Amino acid sequence: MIILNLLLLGLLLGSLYGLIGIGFSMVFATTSILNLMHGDMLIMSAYIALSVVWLGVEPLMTILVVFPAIFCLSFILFYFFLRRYLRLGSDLIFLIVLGLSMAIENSLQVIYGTTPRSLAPYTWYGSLGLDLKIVVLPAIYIIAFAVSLITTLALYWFLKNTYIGKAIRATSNDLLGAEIVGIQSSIVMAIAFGLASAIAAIGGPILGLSMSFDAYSGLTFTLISFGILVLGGAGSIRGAFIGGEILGLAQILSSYYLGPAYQFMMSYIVILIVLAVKPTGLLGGRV
Amino acid sequence: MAFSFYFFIYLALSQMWNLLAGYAKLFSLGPQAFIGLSVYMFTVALNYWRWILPTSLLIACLFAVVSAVAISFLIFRMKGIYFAVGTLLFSEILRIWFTTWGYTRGTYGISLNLTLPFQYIYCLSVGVGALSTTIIWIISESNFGLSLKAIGDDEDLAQHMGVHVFKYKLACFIISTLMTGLAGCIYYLYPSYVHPNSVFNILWLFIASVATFVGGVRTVEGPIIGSFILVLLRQWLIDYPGLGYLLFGLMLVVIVAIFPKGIIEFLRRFLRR
Repeated sequence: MIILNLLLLGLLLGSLYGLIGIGFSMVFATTSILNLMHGDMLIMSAYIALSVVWLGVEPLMTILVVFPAIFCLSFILFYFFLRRYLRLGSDLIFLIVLGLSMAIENSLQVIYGTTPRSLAPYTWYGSLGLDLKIVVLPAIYIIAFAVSLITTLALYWFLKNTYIGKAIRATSNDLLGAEIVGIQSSIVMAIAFGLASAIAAIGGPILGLSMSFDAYSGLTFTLISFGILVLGGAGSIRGAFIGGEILGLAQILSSYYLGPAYQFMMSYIVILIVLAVKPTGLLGGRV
Repeated sequence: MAFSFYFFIYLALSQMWNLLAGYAKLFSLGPQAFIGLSVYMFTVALNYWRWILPTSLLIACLFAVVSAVAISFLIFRMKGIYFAVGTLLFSEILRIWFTTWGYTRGTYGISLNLTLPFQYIYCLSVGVGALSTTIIWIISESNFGLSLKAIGDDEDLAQHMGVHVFKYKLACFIISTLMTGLAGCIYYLYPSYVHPNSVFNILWLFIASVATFVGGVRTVEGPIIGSFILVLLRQWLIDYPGLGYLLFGLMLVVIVAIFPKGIIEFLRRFLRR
């Protein structure tokens, strides 16, 4: 029953993509910025995780390091730098983010070199799988799913029940209205940006476990995150999760039926088609 | 000598990127898609179909135009930033396709069946650089350029004022992709080796965009200055590959942050005082 195995793998991987994409979607909803650095933050967190692992730490524990580190970095970046250019129009921010993306990718290349890396060799469960007779699921994918699910639910709870979460939702719904009721939009946007990158950062070590990466992999995941924005609609967690699943399935299925070299191509084609036909997302919402 | 070879190629690329992004505000993040397509068509025409150089170049250019028209219907449905990422997706799809396509030998790459003395290649590069600049200059002084600027400033308003938006965008796109492809082909005459990760590399975008923004969007002189600075940087940092592009990126950020309209605008204001 190969197809069942493929579908399950796709769903497991898709949850990770959903996690990565939620941040991108959230930033777009709150600040109208297409954060082209998103994938690079992800890869940067994977590299930080790698460095921490070299010091002898178990890969999953690196999440505890990477989450606050990337949160602080992104928050500071937004609050003290990006924020000033928000008023000047999306073109400018776009270029700044593009330039920063270039800078991050190439500094990672300068620091870590061009060889592809992976975190999987540093774990005891790297090559283990769960054998259920009709399907075989790699342990890493199951862990990825668990982490993604927990984090997504935690984020959902956070946005629904905490003051800051509600402030973020308010700002993405109606900026002016939020400011009128006393929400400091600049700080809220910075927190949203930091949080978005930090959540992607959680995906970093997990990604490092699931597949190999190099300094320039960031682009691929920025495109996937964009795809999740397009598929799921801006700011929607449910949409991001479903979008992630769609892309995960597309990748795994095309990897099997077309070959591993084509795996991202199919996802990109799906995104391109949806972009041309219904850019507001399969599940509706504003542009 | 090699220094100015790169200068003219970068000049052509950035002038053409400026045409799309500076005048019509169509930020294409995928010029490398057309560099790749043209270069591969050129290579196929030269190596496989055994045409001579000028004919191969012609075929490559025609192919660039055809592909531009083909995707224009899809691409122009996307507005603004969606257009940008759409072009990026397009180029990434092509890159992956070409790394696996057996006909063009995938990741083994293709060596061009051509050895040309460097003087010829250099002349061609000067030609394409000068041609691009002339085209941009003519356009910027013409009604066509005015319409493009109108489209760039406010597309819907331009449409209401009677500008046939799709037609002009398409014309602009065709000119841009044709010259971009041509410049790409001439560039690859020098190393004489074609590989998908090189022709479809996003670094082409970085070069074109940084040269344009550092110099000055929507100007003719902007890309000239931008390309010059870029080539200087490239020479200094030739031994440190990643560092060069790192600085390109930082430079883009700094320039856009301080001089949003580029160095040219800054100079103009400075000289006006």
